[in-house]
Amino acid sequence: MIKSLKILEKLSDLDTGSKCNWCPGCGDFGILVALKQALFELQLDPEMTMVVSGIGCGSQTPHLIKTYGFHSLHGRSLPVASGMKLANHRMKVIVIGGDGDGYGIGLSHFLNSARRNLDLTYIVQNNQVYSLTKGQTSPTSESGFKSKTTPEGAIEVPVFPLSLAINSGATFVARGFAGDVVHLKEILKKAITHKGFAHVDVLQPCITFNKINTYQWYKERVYKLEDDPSYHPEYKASAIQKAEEWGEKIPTGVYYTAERPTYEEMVPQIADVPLVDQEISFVDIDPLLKNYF
Amino acid sequence: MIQNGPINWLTGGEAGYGITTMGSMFARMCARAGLHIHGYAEYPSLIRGGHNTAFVRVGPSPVLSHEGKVDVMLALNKETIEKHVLEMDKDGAVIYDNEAIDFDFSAVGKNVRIVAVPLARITKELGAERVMRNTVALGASFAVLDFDFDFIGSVLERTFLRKGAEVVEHNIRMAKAGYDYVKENFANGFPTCGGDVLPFEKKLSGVANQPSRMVISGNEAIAIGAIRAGLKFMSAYPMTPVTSIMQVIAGQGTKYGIVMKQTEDEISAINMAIGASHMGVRAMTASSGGGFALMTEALGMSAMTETPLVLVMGTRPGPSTGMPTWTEQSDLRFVMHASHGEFARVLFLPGDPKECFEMTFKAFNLAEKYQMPCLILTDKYLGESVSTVEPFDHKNLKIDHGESISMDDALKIPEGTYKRFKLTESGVSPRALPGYPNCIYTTATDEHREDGDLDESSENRIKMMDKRARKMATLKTESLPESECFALHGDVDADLTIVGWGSTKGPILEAVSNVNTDGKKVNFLQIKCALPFPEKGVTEILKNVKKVLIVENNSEAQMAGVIREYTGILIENRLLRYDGRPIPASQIFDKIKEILS
Repeated sequence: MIKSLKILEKLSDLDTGSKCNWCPGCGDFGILVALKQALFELQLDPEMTMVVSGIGCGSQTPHLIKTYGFHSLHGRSLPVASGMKLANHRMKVIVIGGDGDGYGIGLSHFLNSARRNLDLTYIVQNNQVYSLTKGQTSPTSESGFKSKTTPEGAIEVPVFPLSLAINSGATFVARGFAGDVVHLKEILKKAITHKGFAHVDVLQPCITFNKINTYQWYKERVYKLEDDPSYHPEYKASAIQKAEEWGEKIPTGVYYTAERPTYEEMVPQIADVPLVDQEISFVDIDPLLKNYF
Repeated sequence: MIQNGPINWLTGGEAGYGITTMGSMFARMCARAGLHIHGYAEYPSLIRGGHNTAFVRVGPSPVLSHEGKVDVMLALNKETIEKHVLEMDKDGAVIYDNEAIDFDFSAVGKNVRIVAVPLARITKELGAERVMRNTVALGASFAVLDFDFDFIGSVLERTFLRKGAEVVEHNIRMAKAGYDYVKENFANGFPTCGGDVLPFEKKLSGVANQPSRMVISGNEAIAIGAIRAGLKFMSAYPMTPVTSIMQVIAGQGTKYGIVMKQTEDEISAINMAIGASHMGVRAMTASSGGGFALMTEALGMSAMTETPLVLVMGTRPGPSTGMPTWTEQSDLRFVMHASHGEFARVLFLPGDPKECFEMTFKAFNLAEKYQMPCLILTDKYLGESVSTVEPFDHKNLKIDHGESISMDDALKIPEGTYKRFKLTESGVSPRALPGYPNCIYTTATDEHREDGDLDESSENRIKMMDKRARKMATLKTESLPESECFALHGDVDADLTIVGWGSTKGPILEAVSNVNTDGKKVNFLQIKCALPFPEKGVTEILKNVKKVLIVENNSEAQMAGVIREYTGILIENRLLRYDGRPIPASQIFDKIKEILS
């Protein structure tokens, strides 16, 4: 059964009234506002939308948006969301979490979700530091990054999440900046309406524990891919090249798009009716039992 | 040997040559003839080249375990003879291809019959591919046992019907060739190792007018129980000994509308199952010790978010990789206590395929009704052994969704008033599903309030902990009384009570039934559910027993420890085995004799 559509009359219809525990000035606010605006402008039915998070500062997001929400385990938001999508693919499922959550402990789920291509939107609040645990090195921290657990500086090179996503089969890969809410909102709208696994990495300044990658630092470096008319996000090779561009200049916008059937489209069991709407009051196992006589 | 009835049949060969399939075909042919069987397969953790065996015990009355000397050995390679010839009964028969295997039988018992059949040559002469040698061999072994060929034909027909009449005929022709070769060449008896020619005394004859029985493994019974319970989603990562559950369900996916998702790891498997279940479908996962270890964090998420989950845990010997394809009961404590924090869970301990079916069905109802994890603990011996089972009585099983809110109910709820984790007397909060109108909520793995928002206050914490714990008390009174959590098999008044659980049920019952004929009375207390533990019933029984013995397939007597914890009673007599092999009835029988003498 499908319920009637719930209309969002104003942006504040998405407010929950829950207390937010982010530091004033945190980049997560910009991401939250951009996401809410995107949902509002797309007029997504909040009763048919599920926001899933992992664990981290930004993973409080589901409590701050009035849609269905699931605040899961550290690193496990993608598998939880994948199960949800397979059980009820009529729901819009948006996944959100930090860089430690998605590129550290949950990296394998990230790569496998990209190649699976379920219709999910995956937003990563990437602040290049572990903040909920009060300032340790993250998978995206730059080499030499000094933190409480790497007092002499991080030795590893950082991961390049966008190139991992493209190489793993994601069909929409983008990067936004929490300091440019309008641009980020437009990227999120494209990601949410994209059919397939859409990955949006968001540069998110942590004003408390990352004194290097600040709003100012990003503002001096970010530029928009759409401003370059010669860039075509359909080309994989140039997208991968862009995905490793980091330093003096950092691209934002849509890096890569591709068309591929979604996972759920390829599962005949749910071609007509989502699993959750299938009748189970009496399952006749007699034909199956015959195989054992 | 404690029984004269059953005949033991063993086949062995290289891994990858269909040994398990042969065992299963032999078993089904016997079952078709109205006989009872129990089949057990041993194999190493290799794809090809290792040594595999399938052991089938067959008899006119129920056969409950893997036991005793080999009466008929069907050796498809030399290693089978080398490794198992000392397990032969003194009047047993070895069937082998004398043109392919060179073996010196002079050191073998003098009465052991040698049945040399040129399996490869017969196969080749009939123009068949090499794999058909197995069918020729099956036919030969039934001829030695003087079995009616019609039963063989009917099973081959049913097995290969889907592949067309030609394939059926081809298989029957091959089996008949092996059968006839033995009948024609050994009409006067079989040469023995000692140089005589003797007939093979043991005969396998069908029993007329028997109800038809299934030949099924514990894993298959679990898969079918889950399908009957309305399973819609399974996510799992392959791991011995539970992989066949995934495979049976995947195979029925399009027929029954079930999505079986193989995941990148066990962490993903359990998290996906919880995600699917949260949306309102019946979902499960399965693993063995190592994979289950990875699942433990999310097991607690099922409890904290009050999301129904059914999890099958099939034990193999640990610690670590241990002995991947062997059996053990060493994970009882692990599964009882797995995951951090304190939360309610159900833990079923099925002892045979029938219980696997029934408990799995029940687990889905309990998981949904009480919004908590329900676990089913098995092991390699129960999961992968096949036996003849009376048809499952499933017509009257009822799906129970518990206190769920329907879409229509949700329409009547004033917006902003629904509390997903509402404090109730039963502890169960009426559940509305994501996608319903007027019920928006967020679920969290952090401690939360009735409405799902985070709250770490002392007052809220105590309320929510108590609410979740109350579900177990409600479950015990409403849905899972103590009487369902244990069974006393045999007379209440006995000289000795054996306590066991899980896969030792068959061997214990077999040992007990044999002792009783000697005049001494032995009964069997089977623990069927570890959580909730039936403490009153078990205390009542154990405080009145004359003597008591615990039988467990582990080294620490874990159930004895659990019993002591719940009842205060210490069981001193222990029969423990932890070499990866199941405990045969004879070992239990010997221990009983030792205690009673």
